[in-house]
Amino acid sequence: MISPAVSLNRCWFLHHALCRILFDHSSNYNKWRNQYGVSATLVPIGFVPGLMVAPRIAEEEKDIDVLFIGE
Amino acid sequence: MLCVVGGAGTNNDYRRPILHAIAATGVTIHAPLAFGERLRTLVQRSRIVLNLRSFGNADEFKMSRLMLMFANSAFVLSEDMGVEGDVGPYREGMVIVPARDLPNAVQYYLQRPLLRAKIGETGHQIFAARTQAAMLRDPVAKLVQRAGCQQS
Repeated sequence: MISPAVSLNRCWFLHHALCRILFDHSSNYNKWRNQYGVSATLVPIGFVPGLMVAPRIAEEEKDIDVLFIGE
Repeated sequence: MLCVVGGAGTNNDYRRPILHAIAATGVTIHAPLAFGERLRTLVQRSRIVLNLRSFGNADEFKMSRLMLMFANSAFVLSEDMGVEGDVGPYREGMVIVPARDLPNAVQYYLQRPLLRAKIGETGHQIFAARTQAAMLRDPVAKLVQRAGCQQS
């Protein structure tokens, strides 16, 4: 969740403060541990009920065949 | 068949040829940026949610992108990506194919609504069983323990 572009000074602060850096997927987690020596914890994104926000609609009511997502 | 590709994702030099290949099967591409309520409405109205790599790097698997989809039982068709530890738990709840197979996969699954619904529901059940509270329990406990040690 945190870009490697964040300054190393901030990493140092986080590393030595009570805060820990939490990552949601392995590639960032491994990069920060192996390349920057930052103490990190891998915490996958999990389910919270508040994410269930779109009531299901019937197939025939769906008017988009393919939705392309991704930042 | 007239198809519409709605968009919440950004286009780039890596994704463009893949989207063009899908468009070549008769799909019309319509890609507005969308977030929040607009994105939720798009998910609700969509038969297939397409997940592509950002720049071709194979090890990324961004649940921040997919959590809304799994939570709402959307059918996710994804380019192959991610390491096993990240993507493994969700393999049964989505369809993952190489980029070159996406155009055929889009056509295949568009014609199979019951199969899409079944896979989407499986994805939801997998995700719902992996609660954020459970994911955070150990790390937060260690944080509290560490804070307690530093205060004493």
